[in-house]
Amino acid sequence: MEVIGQMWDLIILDPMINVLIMLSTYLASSFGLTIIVLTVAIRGVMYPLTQKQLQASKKMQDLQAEVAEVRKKYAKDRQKAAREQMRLYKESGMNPAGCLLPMLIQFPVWIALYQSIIKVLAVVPEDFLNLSQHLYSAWPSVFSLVPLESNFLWLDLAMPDKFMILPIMVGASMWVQQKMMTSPTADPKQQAQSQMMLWMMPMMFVFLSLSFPSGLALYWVASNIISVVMQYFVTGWGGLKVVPAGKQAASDRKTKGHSSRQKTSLEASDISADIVVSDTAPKEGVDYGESGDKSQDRGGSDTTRPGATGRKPGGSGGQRRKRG
Amino acid sequence: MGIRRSRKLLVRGALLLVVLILLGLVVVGCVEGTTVPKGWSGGTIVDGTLFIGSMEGKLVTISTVDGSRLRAGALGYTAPAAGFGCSAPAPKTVAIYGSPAVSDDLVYVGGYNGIVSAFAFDRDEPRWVYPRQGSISGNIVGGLTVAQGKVYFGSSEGKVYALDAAEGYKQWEFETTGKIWSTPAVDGNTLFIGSFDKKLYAIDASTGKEKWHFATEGAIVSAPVIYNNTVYVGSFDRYLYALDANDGSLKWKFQAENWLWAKPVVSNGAVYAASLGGKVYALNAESGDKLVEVDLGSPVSSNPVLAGNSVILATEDGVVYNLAPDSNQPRRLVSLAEKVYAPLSASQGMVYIHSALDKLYVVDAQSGAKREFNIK
Repeated sequence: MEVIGQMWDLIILDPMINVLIMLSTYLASSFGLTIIVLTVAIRGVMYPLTQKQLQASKKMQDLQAEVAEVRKKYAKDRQKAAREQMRLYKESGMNPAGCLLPMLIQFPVWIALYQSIIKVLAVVPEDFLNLSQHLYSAWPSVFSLVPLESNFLWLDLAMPDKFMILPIMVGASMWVQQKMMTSPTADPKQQAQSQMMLWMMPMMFVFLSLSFPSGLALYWVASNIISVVMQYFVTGWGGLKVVPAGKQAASDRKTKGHSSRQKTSLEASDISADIVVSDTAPKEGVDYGESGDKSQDRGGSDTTRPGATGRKPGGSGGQRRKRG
Repeated sequence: MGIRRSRKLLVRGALLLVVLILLGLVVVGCVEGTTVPKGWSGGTIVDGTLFIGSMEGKLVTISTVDGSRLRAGALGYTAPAAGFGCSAPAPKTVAIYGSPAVSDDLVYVGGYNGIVSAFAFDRDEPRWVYPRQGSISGNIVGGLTVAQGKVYFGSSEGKVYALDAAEGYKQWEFETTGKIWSTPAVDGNTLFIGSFDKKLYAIDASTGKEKWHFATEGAIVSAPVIYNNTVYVGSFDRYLYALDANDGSLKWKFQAENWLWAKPVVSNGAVYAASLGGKVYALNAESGDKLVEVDLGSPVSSNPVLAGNSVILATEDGVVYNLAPDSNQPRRLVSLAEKVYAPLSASQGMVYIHSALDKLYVVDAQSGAKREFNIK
């Protein structure tokens, strides 16, 4: 465990601490500004991962309606539901784990930045002694720079914000970020989950911000604002966009209508594979066979079921209709 | 496993991961972040009696003859700060960092809660406290100094205070622009003290007026030492400075490899400075020329002490060394196997060491024989 701690210090924490201190040199020795600038820099470096994460999330949201329909339709045939869902994912190029992996990679960096801020603030004498062991002797100036100026605007960065302004900003910025990530859905379960995430995370961070040094809360505000900006450029306003009621209703009807048509065609397919009926106008020159039934083979259809009519091979895009 | 179920598990897993990480941050923050102040008071020995601040927030009186614990006076407690958890100080005890100061009939001790208490030798309750109500707005980290009928100390709000030693009322205060964790040193009518604003101040001990100040490149936490009209003080810019006590002009400076936290010691024309890099330097007190450089392998934050002609040092790892004046080579006396941050004190060939586990060890400065005195 000690070895892991030393490796963590050597590879991640010590560089972060020393960079934090050196950066303050160029920012009027202001620790508050340094926290903001370093947060921007780190989020900038991590942007490719963040972008992937956001895009994966958006794709998942875009597919929600179709996935929900597939699950409903094949409630009795789970294998079929699984195949259809995987097909949807594959066609859209989406990996369900694509949201989590970039986040997991970014976590050590966030934790290191958090620890660095806490250590550099060094409120009590014991923390100060500990800080001396993290400074690079090859960078002589870091020794003189500490302690950094902990006053920033109305804040003492080493103490919680006594005016509670920063915790509220943390909660509000996180709420906006969460709201942008959610998309409207008619599914009550999805709605409940979204609502929970929308409020749970901001409330938790408000609570933490009330306890922790305000330097950390400042980092959270900066990070959340950057996330909002990034998200806007990748996925737009998302759930934050207010859609007029009429348009929303029309959109819902359109979605339902499309779903109904799919339902009809899929139900027919489910029950029987007797006759294939095209939902487009019959093509000229197509020979429909002696039975007089208009049919086109969709390919892969089950013509061996009882009652199935003979049909000419070929054709495409057909729907099946029950005979009689 | 169906896709629906796997998706549900994925979402739940993500939520659980987020909650665990947040909890981890809370734990990490509470454990590794804002540390609860515990203190590291050294002992002050007068006429066979040792006075020391314990980590239980008490002024403990011990006989150095037989190690018996004579009395313990509580400094009171710090009320929990508004807010939750990690940033609040320990609710029931006062951290004591500075060594007590002793006058004719009173013992003075400053607490991290910003209150100075004065105890009679034979009492467990303080005769007076300053301020009478509440506390000063900063913390007291350095030790107290008694001279000319006054008690002097600095606070983390950046002020130097002078109180009447008998009654405890404020006589003057002097303000700097940085925290003060240093212990004041008084020589004649001049008080010397360092500040986080990177300056060493020379202040008129009677009136509180500034005589001069000297600016270094780093914060000053170390207590200054005055010897032969020269002030020696270490800074966070890693330099040990030798200044003329009359006007603050620079005589010489010496660069160490890490912060100079511990108070220097002067003996036999040499000044000994220990750094947080674990190195101890013996320098010619007049010229600043390096006589010896020794690497003890562990940071030295506790103030060394003179025992006879020897300089006794303790590293943070708890190893105690005797630095003989003739050779200036360290001789390992004993390993306490506990962390040591508190200043050392010595009397009659014995060195008193307060460990980070709140134990008091008595070590023979020559043989290294060790005893433990109970301060709890």
